[in-house]
Amino acid sequence: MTSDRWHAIEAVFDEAADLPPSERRAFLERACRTPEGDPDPALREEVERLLALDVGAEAFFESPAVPAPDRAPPEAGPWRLLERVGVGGMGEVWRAERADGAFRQTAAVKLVRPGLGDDLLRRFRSERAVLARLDHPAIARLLDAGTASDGRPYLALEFVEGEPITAFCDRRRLGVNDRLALFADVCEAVAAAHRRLVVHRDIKPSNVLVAETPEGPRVKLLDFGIAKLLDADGDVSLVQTRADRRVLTPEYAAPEQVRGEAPTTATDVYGLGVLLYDLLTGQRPYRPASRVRRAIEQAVLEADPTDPSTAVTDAQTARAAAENRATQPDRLRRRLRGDLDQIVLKALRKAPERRYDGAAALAADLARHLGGLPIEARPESTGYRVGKFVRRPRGPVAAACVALLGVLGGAGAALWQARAAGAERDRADARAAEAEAVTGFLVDLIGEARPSGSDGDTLRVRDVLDAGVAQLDTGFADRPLVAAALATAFARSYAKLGQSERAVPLFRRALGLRQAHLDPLDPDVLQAENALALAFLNTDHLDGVDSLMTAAVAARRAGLGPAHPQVAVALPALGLAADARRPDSLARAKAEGYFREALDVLEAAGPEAFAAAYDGSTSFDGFRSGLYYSLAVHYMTTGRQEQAVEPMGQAVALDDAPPESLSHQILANGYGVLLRQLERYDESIAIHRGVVEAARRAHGPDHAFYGYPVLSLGSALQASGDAAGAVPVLREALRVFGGPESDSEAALETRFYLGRALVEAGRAAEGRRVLRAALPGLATTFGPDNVRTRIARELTGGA
Amino acid sequence: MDSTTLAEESTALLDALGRGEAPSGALFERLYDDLRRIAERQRARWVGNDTINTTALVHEAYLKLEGSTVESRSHLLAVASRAMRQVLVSYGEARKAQKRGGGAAHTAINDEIMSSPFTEAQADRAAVIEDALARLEEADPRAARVVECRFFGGLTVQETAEALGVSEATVARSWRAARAWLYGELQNDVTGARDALDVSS
Repeated sequence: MTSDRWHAIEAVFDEAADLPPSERRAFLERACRTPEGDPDPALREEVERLLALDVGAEAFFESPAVPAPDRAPPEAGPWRLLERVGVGGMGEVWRAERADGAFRQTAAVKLVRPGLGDDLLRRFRSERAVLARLDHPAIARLLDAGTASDGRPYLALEFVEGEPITAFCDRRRLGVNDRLALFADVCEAVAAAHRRLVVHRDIKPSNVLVAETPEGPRVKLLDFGIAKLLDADGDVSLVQTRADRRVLTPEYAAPEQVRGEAPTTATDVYGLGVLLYDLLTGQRPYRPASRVRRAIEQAVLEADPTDPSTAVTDAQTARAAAENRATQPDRLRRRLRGDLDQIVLKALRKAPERRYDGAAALAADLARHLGGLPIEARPESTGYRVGKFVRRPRGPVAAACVALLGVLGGAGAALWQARAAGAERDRADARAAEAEAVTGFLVDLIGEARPSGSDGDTLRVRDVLDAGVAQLDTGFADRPLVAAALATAFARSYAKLGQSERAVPLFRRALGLRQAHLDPLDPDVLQAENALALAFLNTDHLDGVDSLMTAAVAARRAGLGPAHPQVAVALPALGLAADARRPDSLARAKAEGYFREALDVLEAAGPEAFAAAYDGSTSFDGFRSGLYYSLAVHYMTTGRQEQAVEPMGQAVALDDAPPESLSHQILANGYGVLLRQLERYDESIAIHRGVVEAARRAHGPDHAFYGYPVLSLGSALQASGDAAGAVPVLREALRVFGGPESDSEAALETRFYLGRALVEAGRAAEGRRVLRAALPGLATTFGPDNVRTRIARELTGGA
Repeated sequence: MDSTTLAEESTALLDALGRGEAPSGALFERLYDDLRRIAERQRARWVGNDTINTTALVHEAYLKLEGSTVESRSHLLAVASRAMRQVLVSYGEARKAQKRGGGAAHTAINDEIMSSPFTEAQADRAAVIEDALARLEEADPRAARVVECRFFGGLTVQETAEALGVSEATVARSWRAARAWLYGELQNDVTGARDALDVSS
């Protein structure tokens, strides 16, 4: 914002604000002009925005933060306000009693902030009948509404003594079972309200009070239906709608509320899920990067909640959480793992229709859990988690594997498509029949494995796979190609679950079956070879890759011709396997040749031949980009950074993947690392910042795929000499990788850079502490002579 | 009140502070009262936080005043308001630093003050306000001064006008626009319109 701009805004705003609303429009029409006299819509928009904020700003900045003692409270209908018991963004809450002496009654009177409750009375009248029916011992009643003597609308509610359920449980150190019992009462009350078609919309600890009574703890829900009275419903401007939405606590708001959609009973199920999460762990489900509203809202919309059992793993919080639950961290973790994790996560699903079908269903599943019966909730399909990168990050080589995963895996993507090209007609028919058999089998399999009453899509993927593999042995002796297709499908699923070890024998079997019944150069045989090679790579079975693909390349050259794209598809596996060998080995030096040759073959084959022979999802350019990238990484990891520049440039130029895709992020990250190594820090940092941004959008703030780019950015900042700037970035990476005590490879790497950056930023004592703590892990994970271990040892002054 | 005398007195006082000497005398008491009044308003502004110690706030604001030149009592109020802004910002920063990693807390106030009385939400809010105010300051330094006096110093429009040597109309105009703009920035922050009617007691 420039100075001139601000003064223009201020001048127009000042005049407009003093006009009655009816005259503003005409005034703004006249006044919002450029110096040349043309209409200035941007100016007008900004002034209108400020005008809409004016009332709220006045309430916020001018209201005395504490009630002026000399100011008498207003009269609120029949209620005499006695004592102010709370204040917040929505207004004030007073303890009150009936002033008309009709009968003795205490109430909580809410004085609604000007601007929020404009429509309150009209809504109250329309909702009154509904709310009156909400007669439940665990729900505080709405008694009355009206306008106070100072003009503020008010609501009178049953006055409830008690403390928020979370505080109540913590103070008494209630164990998990006692907490679940109280929570069941909450569910019961919510279910009762839902039966009368009233949605709470704002379930959170401060709205769920518990009081000790002679009969034991008693739960009382506040504010049922209040949110709706205060909510906008279509007849107010968008600005007000947005302002109203902001009244909700974002940490407890459901995704549909954040999006501004109408709340339903499923919204309350979500709120109950957050409450249950809090009761069990003492935390909220998400770890937003900051407490700024946008960050929390983004987490609510996009991030996966941390499993409750994982949430109590962090040493410090675990101790406090366990203490408040009269147990040990280990025992609490075990208590939450499994059933309770799944129940909470099901209540918290992003899509309302995939949550429990109401508060009663949630309570019923908890009851099943407490009774030792199998629960309904099952993990949501975990297939999307590509375990590899996460589990064994090994720097650029592992990254290259992931980049090519799409390339190799995609070669078989046509399993379900019948290709109908001239002479292949018969074959296409056979494949269609095969595909049908496979689909039918999977449908049966899922039908059988489905526990009664649960929704089919939340089956444990592993269970289905295990059952399927067992039947593979017996059911398909007479249909070997169907068996091969199934084995491939199962293997790929295992691989996606991060269980490549289980995938290998299945891929091997699929290949064996196809080789026995098909032509050695049939596309399905080639696909099976490619898939097995990838599985070998992912399980570090490098000799397996060599023998399989050396033979395959020879056979393909001889049978299909040296320039056939399938030759190029086979070569990168050999290159990656070579690149995974020890740095100084002879075998490794061959990697370069494989990648170059694959590129030459593709060049000769051209895009059309490639498209005809390869039916994966990767484009011709995308495939070549991956190869150039692998080549560049090969140079980088063998200390030839200058040589890496050219292929890296090619890889970047040919890359056609969107910024949100993992393969693009891996490529850009590698480019950033190379620039850092070449000491081109400004470029490197700019690229890393871009990747961090995209990765955060694509994977959320808690995903390792976001953590790696952050780590890269941190190490680039550190290398550039901006150690102080690197520190917070590296801390962010460390947060993603599990915190300062985590011993994963990524965490150790981060701790190393962090310690170093701290030392260089002049915080030597702190830095040395970090390094000293990381040393044993560095020595174990990277080896005692690794450069990281050595630097850490030197910096800490150790021998 | 004779502002010339006050100016001299103020200067002497601040010089004494600058030399690390204990301030004393009538002006100190007056200044102390002013700061205390500002601190109390400020404390009330950060509702419900009993850990913000008024005396500590006053003393920290003093340290911020070090090196300032003061022309009059009115001007002193403006300077004190600004000092209060800085103290509260450093409270926020200290809180963040505590959260980030303990020992690293450089409060920039005083090495003895290692822990911030702010809650995390208050620290967030302080950061959002400071961030917004810094941007406003670039466009309109005077508007930022007005916000300092009105918001951080808790001065009335009249006091602000005197402290800044401008007309009341100017203050009112600056304040109203700045206030709306700041509120808009706060609205984007979680703590701005937080937790509505919390009847937890």
